[in-house]
Amino acid sequence: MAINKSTNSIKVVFRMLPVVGVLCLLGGFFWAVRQARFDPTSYTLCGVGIALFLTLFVKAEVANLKYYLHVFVYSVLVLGICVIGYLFVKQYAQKVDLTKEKLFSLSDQTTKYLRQLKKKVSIIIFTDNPAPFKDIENLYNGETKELGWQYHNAIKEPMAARMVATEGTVRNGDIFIKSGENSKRLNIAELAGNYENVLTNAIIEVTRDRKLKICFLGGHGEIAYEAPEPPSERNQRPKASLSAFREFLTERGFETAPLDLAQTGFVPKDAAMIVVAGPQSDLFDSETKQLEAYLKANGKMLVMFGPPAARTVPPMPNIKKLLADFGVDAPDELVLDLFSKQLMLEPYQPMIYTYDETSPITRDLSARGQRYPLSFTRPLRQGEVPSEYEFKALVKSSPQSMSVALQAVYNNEPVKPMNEGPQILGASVSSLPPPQMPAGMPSPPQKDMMRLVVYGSNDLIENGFLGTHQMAVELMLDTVNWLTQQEDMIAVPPRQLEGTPIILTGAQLRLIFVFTVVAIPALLFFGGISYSLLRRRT
Amino acid sequence: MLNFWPVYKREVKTYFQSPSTYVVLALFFLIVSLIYQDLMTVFSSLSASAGQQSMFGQTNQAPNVTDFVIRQTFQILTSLVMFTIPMLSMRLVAEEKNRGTFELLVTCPLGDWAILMGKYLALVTVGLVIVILSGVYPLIAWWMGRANGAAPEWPIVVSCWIALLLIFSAYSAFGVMASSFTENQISAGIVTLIGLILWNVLGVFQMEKYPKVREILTEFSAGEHTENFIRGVLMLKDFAFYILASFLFLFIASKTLDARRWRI
Repeated sequence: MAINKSTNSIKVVFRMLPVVGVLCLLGGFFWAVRQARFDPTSYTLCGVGIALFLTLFVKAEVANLKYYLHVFVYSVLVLGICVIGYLFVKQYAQKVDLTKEKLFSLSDQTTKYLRQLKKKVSIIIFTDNPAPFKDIENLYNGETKELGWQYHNAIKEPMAARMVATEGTVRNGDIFIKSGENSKRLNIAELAGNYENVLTNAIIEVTRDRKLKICFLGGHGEIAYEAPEPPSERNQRPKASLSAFREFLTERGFETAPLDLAQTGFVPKDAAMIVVAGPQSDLFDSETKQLEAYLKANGKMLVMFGPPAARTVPPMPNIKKLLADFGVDAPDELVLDLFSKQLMLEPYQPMIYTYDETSPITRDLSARGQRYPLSFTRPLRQGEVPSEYEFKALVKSSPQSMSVALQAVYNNEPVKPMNEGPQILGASVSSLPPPQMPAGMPSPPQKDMMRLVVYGSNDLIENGFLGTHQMAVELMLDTVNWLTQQEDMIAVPPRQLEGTPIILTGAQLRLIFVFTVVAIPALLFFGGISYSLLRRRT
Repeated sequence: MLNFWPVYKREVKTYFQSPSTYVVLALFFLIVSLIYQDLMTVFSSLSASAGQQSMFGQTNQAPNVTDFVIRQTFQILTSLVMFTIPMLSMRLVAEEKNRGTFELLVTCPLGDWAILMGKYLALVTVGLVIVILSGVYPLIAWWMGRANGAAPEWPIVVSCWIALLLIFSAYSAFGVMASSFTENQISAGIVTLIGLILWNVLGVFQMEKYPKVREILTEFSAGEHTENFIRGVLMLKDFAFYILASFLFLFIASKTLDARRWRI
């Protein structure tokens, strides 16, 4: 009698469970609304609610409870075995990439490099959503055990951000690659075009033992090497400086140093490259000779012209002669671009309109074809290029541009076009590459080469410009990488899906509609029902 | 377990003689075809605009038919399976229990596994028919693009078929399990539908404070593992996931059937 009583009361409780389930479910939703988001409490309440509600479909067989318990325990046991089995298989990242362009695999060069990597590298990513990086992490971790990936939210974990970056502000989107003392800072935007190229080269840079030194020539009114004092008056514009560019180089594993050639009298032996950034006066004869000798001895130099600070355009015969010796003419002219006017810009802000597809500096940018404006840019021309060198026009302005006399613009005189059509805004000169060896033959060792890049504007490295234009960042990074001849850097070409356009006529679209939307479902519906009715009759 | 053939034969016959199967299949393909038709129309206009822009010297990457049409079509196909399975699986065991024919079946010299495998494989056979019929979409794309050499990438199509079959198999196992819990077909269908939806959205929950929990839930979410297949990447872990999940659900179903022997 007593047993029957307790059985009955358990049955009553069992019958109440679906009601409790609905209440739990409502409670979960109420909690989520109160918190303005689903949190673990609301998930738990909803989960328990659903589970209890489902007992509505289970017969209240209290006497059989132990058998249900038996099923439950066995099921949990097998679930555990399945989870362990899955985790075991997951360790072996065996995969086959069936895409034609091998879009989801690393290139052979990266794989080879990662497999022989001996140093520990930390990759610290600041983001609020690590999910998109997981695939990349799995790809890289499949090849080496030396990489450690960390994900932090810069907003929620300011301490982590402070520990990673000793200076500057860390934002979500920043990526730090560290190995020992070396560190390199990237931005997620840099990974957008060709993540493998950027990431692998960053790993190579931080694992390299020696830092490359970039010397900034001074003493001729160049852009300030040090960060300027903040302007004393509110409306005053801050002075141009190279501090952002230097920080940019330091973050990418380079070392920077000022160079006063007139004082030292020689180019440091460890200089990987010399930068002449917007000189306002000419070089001294001795400096010109030093730089010419440096370049001819396979040196590397980046020259950028800036707008004259005074109303008189300074003559710079020595710089011009130095460049002309290597095949680059830089006349005292200014590029005017009428295409810029269409974009509500001034004509003296020429657009970087086309990129050279053959140069390693601009190849990737050319594939994307993005444009952006410079300001007060001198046009460059191809002069007499010595036979041992190769000239390339890296970037050009639009076909609607022209060059005019620089002094005339400064004097506010009416300007006459001197040269119409696309103007060269940036050019490179380098020693001719070694001849291509036939397939199967070992390629000759890469020798040290002379490399010179000239831009008609120093906007690209100036503080105010560099941070605002992503294309400028990429162009300067590619320029520096090419100039410093980092041949151990891996050049992974961007992998893009091959375009397979299909242009359909109206008749073809109708045919697709009739065949897929009408014929297939109708055939299944009427054919199937007729067949089943026929079978039933027979 | 290996003598499932009689049950399998009977179940396949039941499926293909039942008008409801054809209604479900017709509805399934009607929805997919409507989306496919729409995708082809958009793809055609994108191709045309890319062609026009390249004529004016502007760089614009022409779209890729495999990426734009085939992958998205199979994404829809795999998602729709979630809603199809409950309609096909709900009657498998529940109906037998309801009609009382289940006792007859278990008195035959067949084990629980043989009964379940027969029913499960019959449902997978319906899935196989869906996979075969889905081949019509890449075939149409190939037919329309053959003049321009714009054929879909067949290895990716094969990968998508594998995804479709694997996910159909895993969902079928879930359906068989849900059907074994109850005598009521509708209940079995609802449990399957809710279960499959929950299994799919596991990784969608926003757990900002508990990223590890979210990571684990995502790892065990059903939809997460089809992505690689649809992209054209075959991964051992994805195969293992669906096969182990199918085994787990069938095991639970077999234990549920086994429990009836002991019930009072």
